[in-house]
Amino acid sequence: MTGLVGLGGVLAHGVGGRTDLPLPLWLFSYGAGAVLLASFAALRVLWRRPRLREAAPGAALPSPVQLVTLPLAILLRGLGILALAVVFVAAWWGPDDAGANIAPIAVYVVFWVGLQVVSALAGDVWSAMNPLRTIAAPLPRTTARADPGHWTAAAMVLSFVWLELAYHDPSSPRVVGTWLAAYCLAALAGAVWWGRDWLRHGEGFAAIFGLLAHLAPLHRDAEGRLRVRPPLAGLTDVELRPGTAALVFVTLGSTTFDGLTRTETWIRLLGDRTGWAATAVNTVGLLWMIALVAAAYLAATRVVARMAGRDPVEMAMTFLPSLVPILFAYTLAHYFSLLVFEGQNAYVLASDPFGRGWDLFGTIDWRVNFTVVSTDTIAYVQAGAIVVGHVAGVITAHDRAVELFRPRLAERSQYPMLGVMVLFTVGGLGLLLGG
Amino acid sequence: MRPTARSRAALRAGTVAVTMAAALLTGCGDDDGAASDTAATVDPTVDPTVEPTVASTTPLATTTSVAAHRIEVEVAGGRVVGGSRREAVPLGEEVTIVVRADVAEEVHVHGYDLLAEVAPGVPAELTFVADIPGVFEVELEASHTELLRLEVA
Repeated sequence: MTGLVGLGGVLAHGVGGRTDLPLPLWLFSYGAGAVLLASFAALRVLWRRPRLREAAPGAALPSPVQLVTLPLAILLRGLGILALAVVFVAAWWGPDDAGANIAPIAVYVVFWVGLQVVSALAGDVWSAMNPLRTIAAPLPRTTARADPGHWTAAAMVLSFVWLELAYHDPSSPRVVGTWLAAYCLAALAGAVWWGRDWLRHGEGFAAIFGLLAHLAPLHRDAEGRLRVRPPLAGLTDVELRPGTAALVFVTLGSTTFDGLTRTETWIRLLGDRTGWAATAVNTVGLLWMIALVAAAYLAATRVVARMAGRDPVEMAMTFLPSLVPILFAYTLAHYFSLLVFEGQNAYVLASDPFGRGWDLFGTIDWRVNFTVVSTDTIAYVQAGAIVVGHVAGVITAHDRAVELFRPRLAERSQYPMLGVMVLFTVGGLGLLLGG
Repeated sequence: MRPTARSRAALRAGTVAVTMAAALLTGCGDDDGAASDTAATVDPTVDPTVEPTVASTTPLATTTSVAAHRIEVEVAGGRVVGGSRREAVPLGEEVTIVVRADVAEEVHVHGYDLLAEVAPGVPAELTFVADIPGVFEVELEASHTELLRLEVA
Protein backbone atom coordinates (compact mmCIF):
# COMPACT_ATOMS: atom_id res chain seq x y z
CA MET A 1 0.00 0.00 0.00
CA THR A 2 1.36 3.31 -0.99
CA GLY A 3 0.53 6.95 -0.97
CA LEU A 4 -3.09 7.76 -0.67
CA VAL A 5 -3.66 4.08 -0.81
CA GLY A 6 -1.64 4.05 2.35
CA LEU A 7 -4.16 6.50 3.67
CA GLY A 8 -6.80 4.13 2.47
CA GLY A 9 -5.34 1.95 5.16
CA VAL A 10 -5.56 4.87 7.56
CA LEU A 11 -9.28 4.70 7.34
CA ALA A 12 -9.57 0.97 7.15
CA HIS A 13 -12.86 0.91 9.04
CA GLY A 14 -13.82 4.43 8.25
CA VAL A 15 -14.83 5.94 4.99
CA GLY A 16 -11.50 6.47 3.26
CA GLY A 17 -9.33 4.93 0.62
CA ARG A 18 -10.57 7.20 -2.09
CA THR A 19 -8.17 8.61 -4.67
CA ASP A 20 -8.84 10.98 -7.53
CA LEU A 21 -10.06 10.05 -10.95
CA PRO A 22 -7.47 10.34 -13.71
CA LEU A 23 -7.19 13.85 -15.12
CA PRO A 24 -9.10 14.08 -18.42
CA LEU A 25 -6.72 14.17 -21.39
CA TRP A 26 -8.16 17.43 -22.71
CA LEU A 27 -7.44 19.16 -19.41
CA PHE A 28 -3.90 17.80 -19.47
CA SER A 29 -3.47 19.18 -22.99
CA TYR A 30 -4.82 22.61 -22.07
CA GLY A 31 -2.55 22.68 -19.02
CA ALA A 32 0.56 21.60 -20.90
CA GLY A 33 -0.21 24.03 -23.76
CA ALA A 34 -0.75 26.91 -21.33
CA VAL A 35 2.52 26.12 -19.59
CA LEU A 36 4.52 26.13 -22.83
CA LEU A 37 2.90 29.37 -24.00
CA ALA A 38 3.37 31.10 -20.64
CA SER A 39 7.02 30.02 -20.54
CA PHE A 40 7.89 31.45 -23.94
CA ALA A 41 5.82 34.56 -23.32
CA ALA A 42 7.59 35.09 -19.99
CA LEU A 43 10.93 35.59 -21.70
CA ARG A 44 9.47 38.40 -23.81
CA VAL A 45 7.12 40.22 -21.49
CA LEU A 46 8.64 39.94 -18.02
CA TRP A 47 10.49 42.85 -16.41
CA ARG A 48 14.15 43.59 -17.12
CA ARG A 49 15.03 44.78 -13.62
CA PRO A 50 14.45 42.77 -10.44
CA ARG A 51 11.22 43.72 -8.73
CA LEU A 52 10.51 41.11 -6.08
CA ARG A 53 13.30 41.88 -3.59
CA GLU A 54 12.37 45.53 -3.15
CA ALA A 55 8.74 44.49 -2.63
CA ALA A 56 9.63 41.84 -0.03
CA PRO A 57 9.36 43.95 3.16
CA GLY A 58 5.78 44.89 2.25
CA ALA A 59 3.71 47.17 4.42
CA ALA A 60 3.07 46.90 8.17
CA LEU A 61 -0.55 46.25 9.08
CA PRO A 62 -2.25 49.00 11.13
CA SER A 63 -1.58 48.91 14.87
CA PRO A 64 -5.01 47.60 16.00
CA VAL A 65 -4.28 44.44 14.00
CA GLN A 66 -0.85 44.16 15.67
CA LEU A 67 -2.59 43.85 19.03
CA VAL A 68 -3.94 40.40 18.11
CA THR A 69 -0.48 38.91 17.54
CA LEU A 70 0.34 38.28 21.21
CA PRO A 71 -2.94 36.59 22.24
CA LEU A 72 -2.89 34.69 18.93
CA ALA A 73 0.66 33.49 19.58
CA ILE A 74 -0.29 32.27 23.07
CA LEU A 75 -3.39 30.54 21.72
CA LEU A 76 -1.42 28.82 18.94
CA ARG A 77 1.32 27.69 21.34
CA GLY A 78 -1.30 26.14 23.63
CA LEU A 79 -3.04 24.53 20.67
CA GLY A 80 0.25 23.04 19.46
CA ILE A 81 1.08 21.33 22.74
CA LEU A 82 -2.53 20.14 23.20
CA ALA A 83 -2.63 18.67 19.70
CA LEU A 84 0.65 16.82 20.19
CA ALA A 85 -0.53 15.42 23.54
CA VAL A 86 -3.89 14.24 22.15
CA VAL A 87 -2.34 12.62 19.08
CA PHE A 88 0.39 11.00 21.14
CA VAL A 89 -2.02 9.49 23.69
CA ALA A 90 -4.44 8.38 20.95
CA ALA A 91 -1.68 6.77 18.89
CA TRP A 92 -0.30 4.79 21.84
CA TRP A 93 -3.34 4.02 23.93
CA GLY A 94 -6.35 4.67 21.68
CA PRO A 95 -8.09 1.88 19.72
CA ASP A 96 -5.62 -0.05 17.56
CA ASP A 97 -7.87 0.48 14.58
CA ALA A 98 -6.93 3.02 11.95
CA GLY A 99 -10.49 4.11 11.23
CA ALA A 100 -11.44 4.66 14.85
CA ASN A 101 -8.24 6.41 15.94
CA ILE A 102 -7.67 10.09 15.32
CA ALA A 103 -3.85 9.88 15.21
CA PRO A 104 -3.29 8.70 11.59
CA ILE A 105 -5.67 11.25 10.08
CA ALA A 106 -4.40 14.00 12.38
CA VAL A 107 -0.80 13.35 11.35
CA TYR A 108 -1.11 12.56 7.61
CA VAL A 109 -4.02 14.80 6.65
CA VAL A 110 -4.57 17.66 9.11
CA PHE A 111 -0.94 18.19 10.08
CA TRP A 112 1.10 17.31 7.00
CA VAL A 113 -1.26 18.50 4.25
CA GLY A 114 -3.28 21.03 6.22
CA LEU A 115 -0.30 22.89 7.62
CA GLN A 116 1.39 23.04 4.21
CA VAL A 117 -1.71 24.79 2.87
CA VAL A 118 -2.06 27.08 5.91
CA SER A 119 1.66 27.97 5.79
CA ALA A 120 1.55 28.88 2.10
CA LEU A 121 -1.61 30.95 2.49
CA ALA A 122 -1.38 32.49 5.96
CA GLY A 123 2.32 32.42 6.83
CA ASP A 124 4.50 30.57 9.31
CA VAL A 125 1.82 29.46 11.75
CA TRP A 126 3.87 26.41 12.74
CA SER A 127 6.69 28.52 14.18
CA ALA A 128 4.13 29.92 16.62
CA MET A 129 2.58 26.49 17.37
CA ASN A 130 5.60 24.20 17.35
CA PRO A 131 5.22 22.13 20.54
CA LEU A 132 8.82 20.93 20.29
CA ARG A 133 10.00 24.49 20.80
CA THR A 134 7.68 24.84 23.78
CA ILE A 135 9.14 21.68 25.35
CA ALA A 136 12.71 22.77 24.55
CA ALA A 137 12.22 26.28 26.00
CA PRO A 138 14.54 25.72 29.03
CA LEU A 139 17.46 24.68 26.80
CA PRO A 140 20.20 27.14 25.78
CA ARG A 141 19.60 28.86 22.43
CA THR A 142 22.86 27.80 20.82
CA THR A 143 25.84 25.58 21.49
CA ALA A 144 29.42 25.68 20.27
CA ARG A 145 28.72 22.96 17.70
CA ALA A 146 28.55 23.81 13.98
CA ASP A 147 24.97 24.14 12.71
CA PRO A 148 23.97 21.35 10.29
CA GLY A 149 21.80 23.70 8.18
CA HIS A 150 18.89 21.99 6.47
CA TRP A 151 20.52 18.56 6.23
CA THR A 152 18.89 17.31 9.44
CA ALA A 153 15.54 18.70 8.24
CA ALA A 154 15.87 16.86 4.93
CA ALA A 155 16.60 13.58 6.75
CA MET A 156 13.66 14.09 9.14
CA VAL A 157 11.21 14.86 6.33
CA LEU A 158 12.52 11.81 4.48
CA SER A 159 11.72 9.65 7.52
CA PHE A 160 8.16 10.97 7.45
CA VAL A 161 7.47 10.60 3.72
CA TRP A 162 9.03 7.13 3.84
CA LEU A 163 6.58 6.15 6.58
CA GLU A 164 3.64 7.63 4.70
CA LEU A 165 4.44 6.53 1.15
CA ALA A 166 6.80 3.57 1.30
CA TYR A 167 6.16 1.66 4.53
CA HIS A 168 3.53 -1.05 4.08
CA ASP A 169 1.41 -0.27 7.14
CA PRO A 170 1.50 3.51 7.61
CA SER A 171 -2.04 3.70 8.95
CA SER A 172 -1.58 1.66 12.11
CA PRO A 173 -1.99 3.97 15.13
CA ARG A 174 0.83 2.16 16.96
CA VAL A 175 3.15 2.62 13.97
CA VAL A 176 2.28 6.32 13.88
CA GLY A 177 2.87 6.49 17.66
CA THR A 178 6.25 4.79 17.41
CA TRP A 179 7.38 7.06 14.62
CA LEU A 180 6.08 10.15 16.43
CA ALA A 181 7.94 9.25 19.63
CA ALA A 182 11.15 8.61 17.71
CA TYR A 183 10.75 11.87 15.80
CA CYS A 184 10.15 13.98 18.91
CA LEU A 185 13.10 12.35 20.70
CA ALA A 186 15.35 13.00 17.70
CA ALA A 187 14.20 16.62 17.53
CA LEU A 188 14.78 17.17 21.25
CA ALA A 189 18.18 15.47 21.03
CA GLY A 190 18.99 17.89 18.21
CA ALA A 191 17.89 20.80 20.38
CA VAL A 192 20.21 19.61 23.18
CA TRP A 193 23.10 19.07 20.75
CA TRP A 194 22.84 22.25 18.65
CA GLY A 195 20.76 24.48 20.93
CA ARG A 196 17.03 25.15 20.80
CA ASP A 197 17.33 27.66 17.95
CA TRP A 198 18.15 24.68 15.74
CA LEU A 199 14.45 23.71 16.05
CA ARG A 200 13.54 26.78 13.97
CA HIS A 201 15.16 25.45 10.81
CA GLY A 202 16.92 22.14 11.48
CA GLU A 203 13.79 20.16 12.43
CA GLY A 204 12.01 18.79 9.35
CA PHE A 205 8.52 20.25 9.65
CA ALA A 206 9.68 23.66 10.90
CA ALA A 207 11.95 23.81 7.86
CA ILE A 208 9.41 22.78 5.23
CA PHE A 209 6.50 24.80 6.63
CA GLY A 210 8.86 27.77 7.03
CA LEU A 211 9.92 27.45 3.41
CA LEU A 212 6.31 27.36 2.19
CA ALA A 213 5.44 30.34 4.38
CA HIS A 214 7.59 32.47 2.07
CA LEU A 215 4.74 32.16 -0.43
CA ALA A 216 2.26 33.77 1.95
CA PRO A 217 1.36 37.44 1.71
CA LEU A 218 1.54 37.69 5.54
CA HIS A 219 4.82 37.66 7.43
CA ARG A 220 6.38 39.04 10.60
CA ASP A 221 9.40 41.32 10.60
CA ALA A 222 12.33 41.32 13.04
CA GLU A 223 10.27 43.34 15.52
CA GLY A 224 7.43 40.81 15.30
CA ARG A 225 5.05 43.14 13.46
CA LEU A 226 2.64 41.65 10.94
CA ARG A 227 3.21 42.87 7.39
CA VAL A 228 1.60 42.19 4.00
CA ARG A 229 3.65 41.75 0.85
CA PRO A 230 2.90 40.97 -2.80
CA PRO A 231 2.77 37.31 -3.87
CA LEU A 232 6.20 35.70 -4.52
CA ALA A 233 8.09 38.67 -3.04
CA GLY A 234 8.73 36.62 0.10
CA LEU A 235 10.72 34.09 -1.94
CA THR A 236 13.59 36.58 -2.18
CA ASP A 237 14.33 36.27 1.54
CA VAL A 238 14.43 32.46 1.77
CA GLU A 239 17.42 31.59 3.94
CA LEU A 240 19.52 29.23 1.86
CA ARG A 241 21.50 26.87 4.06
CA PRO A 242 23.56 23.76 3.45
CA GLY A 243 21.00 21.04 2.66
CA THR A 244 18.15 23.31 1.58
CA ALA A 245 18.32 21.71 -1.85
CA ALA A 246 18.04 18.23 -0.31
CA LEU A 247 15.00 19.35 1.69
CA VAL A 248 13.26 20.63 -1.45
CA PHE A 249 14.15 17.53 -3.49
CA VAL A 250 12.88 15.15 -0.78
CA THR A 251 9.54 16.94 -0.55
CA LEU A 252 9.06 17.44 -4.28
CA GLY A 253 10.25 13.90 -5.04
CA SER A 254 7.89 12.39 -2.46
CA THR A 255 4.80 14.06 -3.93
CA THR A 256 5.91 12.96 -7.38
CA PHE A 257 6.32 9.42 -6.09
CA ASP A 258 2.85 9.57 -4.60
CA GLY A 259 1.54 10.44 -8.07
CA LEU A 260 3.51 7.55 -9.54
CA THR A 261 2.01 5.03 -7.12
CA ARG A 262 -1.47 5.87 -8.40
CA THR A 263 -0.63 4.92 -11.97
CA GLU A 264 -1.51 1.66 -13.66
CA THR A 265 2.18 1.15 -14.45
CA TRP A 266 3.14 1.20 -10.77
CA ILE A 267 0.31 -1.12 -9.73
CA ARG A 268 1.60 -3.62 -12.29
CA LEU A 269 5.18 -3.15 -11.15
CA LEU A 270 4.23 -3.69 -7.52
CA GLY A 271 2.33 -6.81 -8.60
CA ASP A 272 1.19 -8.98 -5.71
CA ARG A 273 3.91 -7.88 -3.29
CA THR A 274 2.75 -7.14 0.25
CA GLY A 275 4.43 -6.39 3.56
CA TRP A 276 8.16 -5.72 3.60
CA ALA A 277 8.52 -6.77 -0.04
CA ALA A 278 6.17 -3.90 -1.00
CA THR A 279 8.03 -1.58 1.38
CA ALA A 280 11.32 -2.45 -0.33
CA VAL A 281 9.96 -1.71 -3.81
CA ASN A 282 8.36 1.52 -2.61
CA THR A 283 11.56 2.63 -0.87
CA VAL A 284 13.53 2.18 -4.08
CA GLY A 285 10.81 4.03 -6.03
CA LEU A 286 10.73 6.91 -3.54
CA LEU A 287 14.51 7.37 -3.47
CA TRP A 288 14.68 7.02 -7.23
CA MET A 289 12.06 9.74 -7.69
CA ILE A 290 13.87 12.10 -5.31
CA ALA A 291 17.11 11.46 -7.21
CA LEU A 292 15.36 12.07 -10.53
CA VAL A 293 13.95 15.42 -9.40
CA ALA A 294 17.36 16.41 -8.02
CA ALA A 295 19.19 15.32 -11.19
CA ALA A 296 16.84 17.26 -13.48
CA TYR A 297 17.17 20.45 -11.45
CA LEU A 298 20.92 20.18 -10.93
CA ALA A 299 21.48 19.49 -14.65
CA ALA A 300 19.58 22.68 -15.53
CA THR A 301 21.41 24.88 -13.01
CA ARG A 302 24.73 23.38 -14.15
CA VAL A 303 24.02 24.61 -17.68
CA VAL A 304 23.14 28.05 -16.24
CA ALA A 305 26.44 28.03 -14.32
CA ARG A 306 28.39 27.20 -17.48
CA MET A 307 26.67 29.99 -19.44
CA ALA A 308 27.35 32.50 -16.68
CA GLY A 309 30.82 31.23 -15.77
CA ARG A 310 29.67 30.75 -12.16
CA ASP A 311 29.97 28.01 -9.59
CA PRO A 312 27.40 25.21 -10.21
CA VAL A 313 26.63 24.84 -6.48
CA GLU A 314 26.03 28.59 -6.14
CA MET A 315 23.66 28.52 -9.13
CA ALA A 316 21.80 25.47 -7.78
CA MET A 317 21.30 27.29 -4.47
CA THR A 318 20.32 30.66 -5.86
CA PHE A 319 17.44 29.37 -8.01
CA LEU A 320 16.02 27.03 -5.33
CA PRO A 321 13.27 29.45 -4.21
CA SER A 322 11.71 29.15 -7.68
CA LEU A 323 10.94 25.49 -6.86
CA VAL A 324 8.90 26.43 -3.78
CA PRO A 325 5.73 27.42 -5.73
CA ILE A 326 6.03 24.19 -7.72
CA LEU A 327 6.39 22.21 -4.51
CA PHE A 328 3.19 23.76 -3.15
CA ALA A 329 1.39 23.22 -6.46
CA TYR A 330 2.26 19.50 -6.32
CA THR A 331 0.94 19.28 -2.76
CA LEU A 332 -2.34 20.94 -3.74
CA ALA A 333 -2.73 18.83 -6.86
CA HIS A 334 -2.14 15.55 -5.04
CA TYR A 335 -3.75 16.17 -1.68
CA PHE A 336 -6.57 18.68 -2.21
CA SER A 337 -9.30 16.03 -2.31
CA LEU A 338 -7.72 14.18 0.61
CA LEU A 339 -7.92 17.32 2.69
CA VAL A 340 -11.56 18.08 1.87
CA PHE A 341 -12.78 14.48 2.20
CA GLU A 342 -10.62 12.82 4.86
CA GLY A 343 -10.34 16.12 6.72
CA GLN A 344 -14.01 15.57 7.57
CA ASN A 345 -13.06 12.36 9.37
CA ALA A 346 -10.74 14.31 11.65
CA TYR A 347 -13.76 16.39 12.60
CA VAL A 348 -15.73 13.22 13.33
CA LEU A 349 -12.98 11.57 15.39
CA ALA A 350 -12.23 14.77 17.33
CA SER A 351 -15.42 13.98 19.22
CA ASP A 352 -13.91 10.74 20.52
CA PRO A 353 -10.13 10.95 20.16
CA PHE A 354 -9.33 8.07 22.55
CA GLY A 355 -12.08 5.64 21.49
CA ARG A 356 -13.95 5.92 24.80
CA GLY A 357 -17.40 6.28 23.24
CA TRP A 358 -17.39 10.04 23.82
CA ASP A 359 -19.18 12.54 21.60
CA LEU A 360 -17.58 15.85 22.62
CA PHE A 361 -18.71 17.91 19.66
CA GLY A 362 -21.75 15.90 18.59
CA THR A 363 -20.05 14.86 15.34
CA ILE A 364 -19.38 11.18 16.00
CA ASP A 365 -22.17 9.94 13.76
CA TRP A 366 -21.24 12.14 10.83
CA ARG A 367 -20.17 10.47 7.63
CA VAL A 368 -17.83 11.86 5.00
CA ASN A 369 -19.75 13.89 2.46
CA PHE A 370 -18.17 13.10 -0.90
CA THR A 371 -20.25 15.74 -2.66
CA VAL A 372 -18.74 18.86 -1.02
CA VAL A 373 -16.61 19.23 -4.12
CA SER A 374 -17.33 17.56 -7.45
CA THR A 375 -14.79 15.46 -9.33
CA ASP A 376 -14.74 18.20 -12.00
CA THR A 377 -13.76 20.81 -9.40
CA ILE A 378 -11.00 18.53 -8.13
CA ALA A 379 -9.63 18.11 -11.66
CA TYR A 380 -9.64 21.89 -12.23
CA VAL A 381 -7.91 22.52 -8.91
CA GLN A 382 -5.28 19.92 -9.78
CA ALA A 383 -4.50 21.25 -13.25
CA GLY A 384 -4.90 24.88 -12.16
CA ALA A 385 -2.51 24.49 -9.21
CA ILE A 386 0.20 22.92 -11.35
CA VAL A 387 -0.08 25.56 -14.13
CA VAL A 388 -0.16 28.51 -11.68
CA GLY A 389 2.71 26.98 -9.69
CA HIS A 390 4.73 26.65 -12.87
CA VAL A 391 4.15 30.27 -13.89
CA ALA A 392 5.06 31.43 -10.37
CA GLY A 393 8.27 29.38 -10.55
CA VAL A 394 9.18 30.87 -13.94
CA ILE A 395 8.60 34.42 -12.64
CA THR A 396 10.66 33.81 -9.50
CA ALA A 397 13.57 32.34 -11.46
CA HIS A 398 13.40 35.17 -14.00
CA ASP A 399 13.49 37.83 -11.30
CA ARG A 400 16.55 36.18 -9.76
CA ALA A 401 18.25 35.98 -13.16
CA VAL A 402 17.82 39.67 -13.97
CA GLU A 403 19.11 40.44 -10.49
CA LEU A 404 22.27 38.39 -11.05
CA PHE A 405 23.09 38.68 -14.73
CA ARG A 406 23.26 41.24 -17.53
CA PRO A 407 20.03 41.37 -19.60
CA ARG A 408 21.20 39.14 -22.49
CA LEU A 409 22.66 36.49 -20.18
CA ALA A 410 19.62 36.72 -17.92
CA GLU A 411 17.36 35.82 -20.81
CA ARG A 412 19.60 33.05 -22.17
CA SER A 413 20.15 31.59 -18.71
CA GLN A 414 16.41 31.03 -18.37
CA TYR A 415 16.18 28.50 -21.23
CA PRO A 416 17.54 25.63 -19.11
CA MET A 417 15.44 26.76 -16.15
CA LEU A 418 12.33 26.83 -18.33
CA GLY A 419 13.25 23.41 -19.66
CA VAL A 420 13.36 21.81 -16.21
CA MET A 421 10.19 23.58 -15.06
CA VAL A 422 8.26 22.49 -18.14
CA LEU A 423 9.53 18.97 -17.42
CA PHE A 424 8.30 19.12 -13.82
CA THR A 425 4.95 20.54 -14.83
CA VAL A 426 4.18 18.27 -17.75
CA GLY A 427 5.52 15.36 -15.68
CA GLY A 428 3.35 16.37 -12.74
CA LEU A 429 0.27 16.67 -14.93
CA GLY A 430 1.17 13.44 -16.73
CA LEU A 431 1.20 11.50 -13.46
CA LEU A 432 -2.32 12.77 -12.79
CA LEU A 433 -3.45 11.00 -15.97
CA GLY A 434 -3.07 7.79 -14.01
CA GLY A 435 -2.01 5.75 -17.07
CA MET B 1 10.88 46.43 -29.81
CA ARG B 2 12.67 45.11 -32.90
CA PRO B 3 12.26 41.35 -33.29
CA THR B 4 15.59 39.57 -33.09
CA ALA B 5 16.40 36.19 -34.65
CA ARG B 6 16.19 34.70 -31.17
CA SER B 7 12.75 36.04 -30.39
CA ARG B 8 11.50 34.87 -33.78
CA ALA B 9 12.77 31.39 -32.96
CA ALA B 10 10.98 31.56 -29.62
CA LEU B 11 7.80 32.68 -31.34
CA ARG B 12 8.04 29.85 -33.87
CA ALA B 13 8.50 27.35 -31.05
CA GLY B 14 5.54 28.92 -29.31
CA THR B 15 3.42 28.56 -32.43
CA VAL B 16 4.39 24.90 -32.73
CA ALA B 17 3.36 24.38 -29.10
CA VAL B 18 -0.03 26.00 -29.69
CA THR B 19 -0.61 23.94 -32.81
CA MET B 20 0.28 20.75 -30.96
CA ALA B 21 -2.00 21.65 -28.08
CA ALA B 22 -4.79 22.51 -30.50
CA ALA B 23 -4.36 19.20 -32.32
CA LEU B 24 -4.57 17.32 -29.03
CA LEU B 25 -7.62 19.28 -28.00
CA THR B 26 -9.58 18.64 -31.19
CA GLY B 27 -8.77 14.94 -30.88
CA CYS B 28 -10.20 14.93 -27.38
CA GLY B 29 -13.23 16.94 -28.42
CA ASP B 30 -14.21 14.14 -30.78
CA ASP B 31 -13.89 11.57 -28.00
CA ASP B 32 -16.17 13.59 -25.78
CA GLY B 33 -18.75 13.83 -28.53
CA ALA B 34 -18.69 10.09 -29.13
CA ALA B 35 -18.98 9.38 -25.41
CA SER B 36 -22.04 11.59 -24.95
CA ASP B 37 -23.69 10.03 -28.04
CA THR B 38 -23.37 6.57 -26.53
CA ALA B 39 -24.70 7.80 -23.22
CA ALA B 40 -27.75 9.23 -24.99
CA THR B 41 -28.61 5.96 -26.75
CA VAL B 42 -28.47 3.79 -23.64
CA ASP B 43 -30.50 6.20 -21.53
CA PRO B 44 -33.99 4.62 -21.46
CA THR B 45 -35.72 7.98 -21.01
CA VAL B 46 -34.33 9.14 -24.34
CA ASP B 47 -34.36 5.88 -26.29
CA PRO B 48 -37.84 5.45 -27.83
CA THR B 49 -37.42 1.65 -28.19
CA VAL B 50 -37.50 1.14 -24.43
CA GLU B 51 -41.00 1.00 -23.02
CA PRO B 52 -41.50 3.82 -20.52
CA THR B 53 -43.36 1.56 -18.04
CA VAL B 54 -40.42 -0.85 -17.92
CA ALA B 55 -38.00 2.01 -17.35
CA SER B 56 -40.00 3.45 -14.48
CA THR B 57 -40.83 0.23 -12.59
CA THR B 58 -37.70 -1.93 -12.94
CA PRO B 59 -34.57 -0.48 -11.37
CA LEU B 60 -32.84 0.27 -14.67
CA ALA B 61 -32.17 -3.11 -16.31
CA THR B 62 -30.65 -4.74 -13.25
CA THR B 63 -29.80 -8.08 -14.77
CA THR B 64 -27.76 -6.69 -17.67
CA SER B 65 -25.81 -4.14 -15.58
CA VAL B 66 -24.97 -6.77 -12.96
CA ALA B 67 -23.65 -9.00 -15.69
CA ALA B 68 -21.69 -6.09 -17.17
CA HIS B 69 -20.13 -5.01 -13.85
CA ARG B 70 -19.35 -8.28 -12.20
CA ILE B 71 -15.75 -8.20 -11.02
CA GLU B 72 -14.12 -11.42 -9.87
CA VAL B 73 -10.91 -11.65 -7.88
CA GLU B 74 -9.11 -14.77 -6.73
CA VAL B 75 -6.63 -14.95 -3.87
CA ALA B 76 -4.25 -17.93 -3.68
CA GLY B 77 -1.50 -18.31 -1.09
CA GLY B 78 -2.18 -14.83 0.25
CA ARG B 79 -1.65 -13.26 -3.17
CA VAL B 80 -4.02 -11.92 -5.79
CA VAL B 81 -3.95 -14.10 -8.88
CA GLY B 82 -2.67 -11.82 -11.65
CA GLY B 83 -1.94 -8.97 -9.21
CA SER B 84 -4.10 -5.99 -8.34
CA ARG B 85 -5.74 -4.18 -11.24
CA ARG B 86 -7.87 -1.18 -11.99
CA GLU B 87 -11.53 -1.75 -12.92
CA ALA B 88 -13.63 1.07 -14.37
CA VAL B 89 -17.36 1.25 -13.58
CA PRO B 90 -19.79 3.98 -14.70
CA LEU B 91 -21.15 6.21 -11.94
CA GLY B 92 -24.60 5.23 -10.66
CA GLU B 93 -24.56 1.61 -11.88
CA GLU B 94 -24.74 -1.55 -9.88
CA VAL B 95 -21.51 -3.46 -9.28
CA THR B 96 -20.92 -6.95 -7.92
CA ILE B 97 -17.50 -7.83 -6.59
CA VAL B 98 -16.87 -11.52 -6.01
CA VAL B 99 -13.77 -12.55 -4.07
CA ARG B 100 -12.63 -16.16 -3.74
CA ALA B 101 -9.82 -16.80 -1.30
CA ASP B 102 -7.97 -19.75 0.23
CA VAL B 103 -7.83 -17.93 3.57
CA ALA B 104 -10.46 -16.68 6.02
CA GLU B 105 -10.43 -12.90 5.74
CA GLU B 106 -12.55 -9.82 5.40
CA VAL B 107 -13.01 -7.93 2.14
CA HIS B 108 -13.24 -4.16 2.49
CA VAL B 109 -14.38 -1.70 -0.18
CA HIS B 110 -12.94 1.65 0.90
CA GLY B 111 -14.95 4.85 0.55
CA TYR B 112 -18.16 2.86 0.28
CA ASP B 113 -17.08 1.25 3.53
CA LEU B 114 -18.50 -2.20 2.75
CA LEU B 115 -17.29 -5.33 4.48
CA ALA B 116 -17.85 -9.03 3.68
CA GLU B 117 -16.44 -12.25 5.13
CA VAL B 118 -14.55 -14.59 2.86
CA ALA B 119 -13.35 -18.14 3.62
CA PRO B 120 -11.98 -21.09 1.65
CA GLY B 121 -14.90 -22.34 -0.45
CA VAL B 122 -17.15 -19.48 0.69
CA PRO B 123 -16.67 -16.53 -1.67
CA ALA B 124 -17.46 -12.99 -0.59
CA GLU B 125 -20.00 -11.26 -2.75
CA LEU B 126 -20.64 -7.53 -2.51
CA THR B 127 -23.34 -5.86 -4.60
CA PHE B 128 -23.81 -2.10 -4.43
CA VAL B 129 -24.64 0.95 -6.51
CA ALA B 130 -21.45 2.82 -7.46
CA ASP B 131 -22.69 6.28 -6.56
CA ILE B 132 -19.50 7.95 -5.20
CA PRO B 133 -17.08 9.05 -7.92
CA GLY B 134 -13.35 8.43 -7.47
CA VAL B 135 -10.88 5.57 -7.32
CA PHE B 136 -11.41 3.20 -4.39
CA GLU B 137 -9.23 0.52 -2.97
CA VAL B 138 -10.64 -2.94 -2.34
CA GLU B 139 -8.50 -4.96 0.04
CA LEU B 140 -8.24 -7.91 2.36
CA GLU B 141 -8.61 -6.09 5.64
CA ALA B 142 -6.36 -8.00 8.06
CA SER B 143 -3.36 -8.51 5.76
CA HIS B 144 -3.79 -5.22 3.86
CA THR B 145 -3.64 -7.14 0.57
CA GLU B 146 -4.86 -4.90 -2.22
CA LEU B 147 -7.34 -6.80 -4.42
CA LEU B 148 -8.24 -4.13 -6.95
CA ARG B 149 -8.83 -0.43 -7.47
CA LEU B 150 -12.36 0.44 -8.44
CA GLU B 151 -12.60 3.48 -10.69
CA VAL B 152 -16.07 5.04 -10.60
CA ALA B 153 -16.65 7.85 -13.12
